[in-house]
Amino acid sequence: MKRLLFRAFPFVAGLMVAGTTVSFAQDDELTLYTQRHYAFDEELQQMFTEETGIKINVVKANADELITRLQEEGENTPADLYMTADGGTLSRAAEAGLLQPIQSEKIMESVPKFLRDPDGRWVAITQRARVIVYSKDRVAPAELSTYENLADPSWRGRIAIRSSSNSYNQSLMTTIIAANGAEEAEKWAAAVRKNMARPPQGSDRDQIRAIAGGLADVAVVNTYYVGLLETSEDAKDREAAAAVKLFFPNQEGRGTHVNISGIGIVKGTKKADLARKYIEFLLSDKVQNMISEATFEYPAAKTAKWSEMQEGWGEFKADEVSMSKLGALNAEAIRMFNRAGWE
Amino acid sequence: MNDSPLLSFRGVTRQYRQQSQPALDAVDLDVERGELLALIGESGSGKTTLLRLAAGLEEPDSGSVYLEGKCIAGDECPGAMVPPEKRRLGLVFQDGALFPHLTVSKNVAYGLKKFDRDRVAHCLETVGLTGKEKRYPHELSGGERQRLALARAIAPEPRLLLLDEPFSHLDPILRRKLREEIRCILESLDQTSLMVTHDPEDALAVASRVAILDRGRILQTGVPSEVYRNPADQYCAERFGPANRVVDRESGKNIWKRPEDARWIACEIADEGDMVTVEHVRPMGHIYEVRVAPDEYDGETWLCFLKDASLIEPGERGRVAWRGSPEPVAWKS
Amino acid sequence: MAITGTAEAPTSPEAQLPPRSTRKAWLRWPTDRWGFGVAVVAGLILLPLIAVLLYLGRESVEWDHLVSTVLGGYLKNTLILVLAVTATVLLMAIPPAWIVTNYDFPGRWLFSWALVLPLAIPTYVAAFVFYQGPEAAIPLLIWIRTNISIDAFFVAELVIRYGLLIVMLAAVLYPYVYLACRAAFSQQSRTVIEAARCLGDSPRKVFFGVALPMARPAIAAGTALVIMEVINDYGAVHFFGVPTLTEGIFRTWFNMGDKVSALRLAGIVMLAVAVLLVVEQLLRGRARYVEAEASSVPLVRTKLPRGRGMFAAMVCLVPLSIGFLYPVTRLVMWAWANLTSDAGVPIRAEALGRGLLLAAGTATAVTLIAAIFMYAVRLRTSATRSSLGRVAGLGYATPGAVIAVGVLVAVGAFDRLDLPWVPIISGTLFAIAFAYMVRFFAIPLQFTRAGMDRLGKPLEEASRLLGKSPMATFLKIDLPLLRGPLIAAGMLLFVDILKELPLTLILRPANFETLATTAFSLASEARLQACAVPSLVIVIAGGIGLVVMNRWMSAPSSHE
Repeated sequence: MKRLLFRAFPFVAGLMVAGTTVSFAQDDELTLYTQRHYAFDEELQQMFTEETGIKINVVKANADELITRLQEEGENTPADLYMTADGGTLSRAAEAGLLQPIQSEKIMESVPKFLRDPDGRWVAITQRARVIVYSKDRVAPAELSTYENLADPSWRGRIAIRSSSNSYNQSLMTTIIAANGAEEAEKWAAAVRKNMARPPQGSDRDQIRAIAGGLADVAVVNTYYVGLLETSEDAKDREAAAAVKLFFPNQEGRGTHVNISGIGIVKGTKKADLARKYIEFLLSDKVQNMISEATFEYPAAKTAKWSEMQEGWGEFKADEVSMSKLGALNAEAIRMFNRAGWE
Repeated sequence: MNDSPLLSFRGVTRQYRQQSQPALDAVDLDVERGELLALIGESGSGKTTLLRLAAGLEEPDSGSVYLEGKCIAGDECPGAMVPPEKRRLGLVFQDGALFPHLTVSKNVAYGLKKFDRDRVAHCLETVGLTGKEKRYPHELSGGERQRLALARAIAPEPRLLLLDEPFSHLDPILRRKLREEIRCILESLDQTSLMVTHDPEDALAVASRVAILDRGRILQTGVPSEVYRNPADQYCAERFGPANRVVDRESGKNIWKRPEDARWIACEIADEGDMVTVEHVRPMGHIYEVRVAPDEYDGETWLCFLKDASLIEPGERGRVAWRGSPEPVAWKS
Repeated sequence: MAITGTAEAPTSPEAQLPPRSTRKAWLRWPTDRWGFGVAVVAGLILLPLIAVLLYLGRESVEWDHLVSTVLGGYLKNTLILVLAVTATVLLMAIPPAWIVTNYDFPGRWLFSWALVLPLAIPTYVAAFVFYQGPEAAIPLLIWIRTNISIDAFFVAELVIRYGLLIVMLAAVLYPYVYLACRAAFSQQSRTVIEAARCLGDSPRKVFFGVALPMARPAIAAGTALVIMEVINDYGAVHFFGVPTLTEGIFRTWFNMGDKVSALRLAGIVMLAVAVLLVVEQLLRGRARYVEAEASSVPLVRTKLPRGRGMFAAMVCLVPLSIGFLYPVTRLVMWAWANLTSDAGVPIRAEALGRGLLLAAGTATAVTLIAAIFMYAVRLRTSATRSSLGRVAGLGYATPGAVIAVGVLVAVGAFDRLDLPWVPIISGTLFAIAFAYMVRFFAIPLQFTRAGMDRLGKPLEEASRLLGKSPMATFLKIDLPLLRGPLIAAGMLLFVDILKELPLTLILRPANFETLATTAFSLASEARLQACAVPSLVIVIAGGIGLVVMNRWMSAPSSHE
């Protein structure tokens, strides 16, 4: 008997593995490749399924990894939708021919022009402003003005900012290149690096915590992190959020850098109709309003409302440079970071 | 009754990559039915390689191996080598190679197509291990393990039994006992066997024929006592123990004499034997070992076994003569 | 053909020719099914790696830029980490292994198996826990900045950050060397050690002069594993902001979109590891099978007097605390905080079940495949077969992300062939299971090889001569007698698959979350308390697996 079990086990194991492998997606299901990993997103997906009966299968990974995966899978990819948390990556995916035009006036018109692809291949779902946060105790708002100003020697040893490998910083960099030209942008990166309180490490949250701990005086982070920290379950997080304030840079000039979280329909999918339904769902007022409450990102739709906390931070002018322009500059941005020694 | 040999090697050569000399060099050898042929040689002489070629655990580089007249490996049948499991041979390994996770009776039954209780019992009885069916190999003594190895090898009634230094792991007393027992068993079964050993006593005690190998070549074959008496050269002589080089008066050739054939002549002016000086004398229980330096063999010494050398002192001068060959002893060939 | 043996030594010219087989050994096609099987399995495993290599020949956009800017930094950091972690690991692993083997002191039995536990903690989980360190050091750093100088501050920050990363990596990786040393020390011939003592060597001399050199091959093997893990780590170095070659691979590939340059970096990594393996092979190759005879003299441990005994316990406690007790305590505290709050359990039972099932199923299947593969490799001694046997383990030296992409390419190409009746493999569990096999094949290979070496050829030969085919011999003799090493290998494989992150992140099918990916995404959101829950489950499952593996490894593989 023992021998029988011993011999049978590998086959059973193999069958179990094999059985779970063959996955034929049903007709009323969508497969979404997304970079976003919020619990809120899952709630949204469930809501969508309840409303429409369409199930959403999710593959979560880094946006660039997903691009590679889409490229290799080619026609045989199971993906129908592609979603990122960064505009540069989204536009790169479009340029790489991985997305098809959404072909819906309704969808396109629901967001401002600079938040959608001129060729109709993607659309923003949320906006993410990248702002300066500063220590309430040690910095006066009057000292702050623009991103470019952070290169000033007066900030030596006072800036906390995360690694250049992060796409949010890369996108910011692309706007600086677009606004000031390559040479100036590279000088800026080198100067900011010199001003850092410590070598780049950790996430945006860690930068805020660094300010709270007294190590730095200012940091460049996405706004919604402040919101997330303020409402965090961890008391230390809430303390950190309480120690800083938000400042929207470049209000006199082009406006604060705004990145997007957006979505597109994967080329070659047979379910474009269903995919459009999901995008419409995400851009509906109901969902857009929920977004501002849940993740503290700014909604993309023109008619959406902001949450109280966002109202509290105040209105601001957003840099309306086109996302597709920025996508092309990403590689250059990274090279500049490398040359400037910004790890 | 079939006259052809059971196992034949023709021109078999085998070379290992790491060595410069071939392990076997164009060897021709036959094993006749019913005989127990012992292969004797130093380590590296190729005897184990020959055995492994017979078993099919290795392939010859050139030449062929025949079993019951049919080619089973080599140039005669390229690409058609018969794998070990199809040859119906038995092999008793040096250290038994018993299966530690099987009981004694399961070990014995391993080679049988079906578990045949009677056959197992019969084999165990033959080797004297009745009653130990449920034991495991590690619970047996050294001698019992070798017997189990034998029982396992003969259970499937192999055409040829191969033995690889079967007694080398045993202490001398056990070795003597087991040798005799195994010889009886093999004779009673009329089992053709090929045994490899470096111990001459094994060959003399057990074998019906002996073949001496040196560096991949066969130097001499024959009945053990014959080879003992008339070795072809120094190497062959030394396989069986110490031998003294004596130049034959008449033919001028080298002949090899055993220490026990030495005769001590105390008188210096006798006309037989050669003048020697005694170097040392050592009582060894049953005989005296006396080493002498013959005058006419510069630098060489002779070893003599004398029944009584109590009166011989080192430094003494005397003569040593050699007894002639005894009558041939009736031996199975 | 009744020719009796002659005494003539042949001098014919034919006898002088090199034998046929050695001349053409390299050209022999697999002449039997087993050889064919070996070639097929090795080929499948190499496929993703070859797919990756094929890219190397292409044009690279960013390579020159990389070389002039960041490559130096990557190399420097990788080298610093490797050297420093290795040194620390040796300090942490060898003394406890020695004293646990040879001395008796309070807690000895507990330490003997507990010291393996840090291996259950993935490097990225350790990173979450230990990263609190630099934060805690902020007051100190600020003090230095204000009272000494800003440059001193930068230096101090660097030292603390690197130092903590090094200690942390060493603390979770030292068990590799510890295990190897334990095995080596306990198998070392008692007689050699005792001879040294009789000749007047003090215990210290015995250790440094005899035991340590004899254990060198084992230490080399364990260290090689440590170095490979350090080079391949992505999570921890990313967190601590220490860009290494692997981090460079990720950045170049995914950020800059330059596959070719990323693969060249990967090539450097693989080259470094290949050199490492060669060195390790040299260090142990000479000591042919110095597997000393299992001594019939039972191991007698010297009982230590109280003072020394406490000291010995301390020596063992330090690595255990840093590598296991501290992280687990933090995790438990966080998990408790999370579970007792209203936030809800962050793992779904489904994810848990899926992850464990995939790991267990894959581990079992891969171990068995490896065992059959190793058996087939050893069936016939040929240069091609043994090199195929070595080459099949290359996946271990390759960064997980590289393998993932290789599998993507290979599977994608396969799917494009559009074979009838064959389902699409891209995006299924089969693809990721295959990738795990490519990545971790070396582990069961090593265990099986060692086990089969110990088993030796005679038993297999005896079975063949008794009429059993090679397959029957494998099933009746090798498999039962190799139960110990196979189970140990399966366990280690299970633990490694559970912990695996980068490859899983890239290749996982839809709706598929493992414990590792859950922990990682929660940590990326800095929800540390929630993250502690799946992390703890990984650690517990891994810990159990390790303890079982340890038991099977020290049990004799045969019934001797």
